[in-house]
Amino acid sequence: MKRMIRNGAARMLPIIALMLALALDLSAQRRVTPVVPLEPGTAPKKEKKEDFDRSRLVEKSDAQGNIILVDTVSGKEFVDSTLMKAPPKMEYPLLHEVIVGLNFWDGAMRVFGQKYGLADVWGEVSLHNRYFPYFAFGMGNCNDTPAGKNYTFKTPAAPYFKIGASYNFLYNSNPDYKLQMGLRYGFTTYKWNLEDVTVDEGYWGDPSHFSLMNQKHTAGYLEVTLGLKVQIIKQFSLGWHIVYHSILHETTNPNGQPMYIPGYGKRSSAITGNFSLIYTIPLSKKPTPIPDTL
Amino acid sequence: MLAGLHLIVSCSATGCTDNQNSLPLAGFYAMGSDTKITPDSIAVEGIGAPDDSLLLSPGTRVSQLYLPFRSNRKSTSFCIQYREQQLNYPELYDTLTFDYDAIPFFASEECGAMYHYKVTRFTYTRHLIDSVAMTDSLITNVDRETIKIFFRTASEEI
Repeated sequence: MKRMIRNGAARMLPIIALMLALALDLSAQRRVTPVVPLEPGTAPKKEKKEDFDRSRLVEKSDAQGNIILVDTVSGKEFVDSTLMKAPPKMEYPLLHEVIVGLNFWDGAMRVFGQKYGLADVWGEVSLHNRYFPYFAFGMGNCNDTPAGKNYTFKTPAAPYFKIGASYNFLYNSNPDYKLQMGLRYGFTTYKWNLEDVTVDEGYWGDPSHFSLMNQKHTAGYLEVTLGLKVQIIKQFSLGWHIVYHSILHETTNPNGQPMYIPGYGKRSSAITGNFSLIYTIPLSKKPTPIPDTL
Repeated sequence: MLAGLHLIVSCSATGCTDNQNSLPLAGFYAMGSDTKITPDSIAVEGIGAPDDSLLLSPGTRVSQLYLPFRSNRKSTSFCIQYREQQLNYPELYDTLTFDYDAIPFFASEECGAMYHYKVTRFTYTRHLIDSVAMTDSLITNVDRETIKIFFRTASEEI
């Protein structure tokens, strides 16, 4: 009998344990963790800042000799920005150089058949190798009989002036190399002639001829330049500029406007160029620092 | 580099989009309307032209015609002949005369040099022409109609 009771109790034990477990589980309060998705297109407001233990940092030098901090656990490297040297605003002195040049673009273009233009001399002052006030004086002429046209256009040698400034994008680099953008105002006053004109309407059979002599003209124009200067030898450099220009003002003439303007070129072209031989006179007695890179 | 830049400079020329001469352009209209007509039986001749050459020969239907002025004269006349059988009588021909000042003008490198004509006076006979009007007294090389000739028309066309 006792054995039967013992066997029955042994069978009941797992059932009682299961019921007890279920009862306990039902009575426990559930934790609710609602998940609200972010609205489409939104990003988390803050990035979690990575913590690191400063005691794990050791000071080391890199290949260039710069001091860096290395996390001994993660292997990450840090740069202490407070130790970094701030880049200088202006590497070169205010009165840095005087630069003079001879622009012989028009002379060179005559090789390609151009029938106008002479040359100009110009000068600029290098301020911090960054800003370059500019002045130019030149002479221009024209003697052109375009093929298939009914006239000869002439302008005796006439002066022109330009004033403006350039900006060097490589101002903290080696001053032997410059990438400059400039703005200039040009002015000229001169005379032009139209000679040997033949007018033939093609019907009456008696063409007429005329010439227009000593037409006075004054013009002002704007130039936007972009160019390079490269040292060739010692104080000598070469400069190439591409020039966009536009006439700002000019006198009006009942007999028409001239096709050539000294210093500007032909009015039909919006783009021209400059090509200069340049001589540089250093103003600063101290040798200018030459950075490692351009 | 210089050659490349020279190419850029050379390619920026615009060319001549107007006439290379100052040519007055006349339009033919029906009397009392702004409707253009294309007569097929008229001839137009410049008076004094070599070999009596015609500017417009009969059988050619046009609504506009260039009437070139003589650049070395102060006046140019044109004769309009009606070659339709019932109208082909010299006494019915009309004459159109323009007096002007020729002004030497340099248009551009591409269009060249020419005269502009300032018309000071114009006269015409009124056999089959009803009236003539000028929209601008200055004739330039711009290709636009400045002379309107209104014909007496029984129907829409001569």
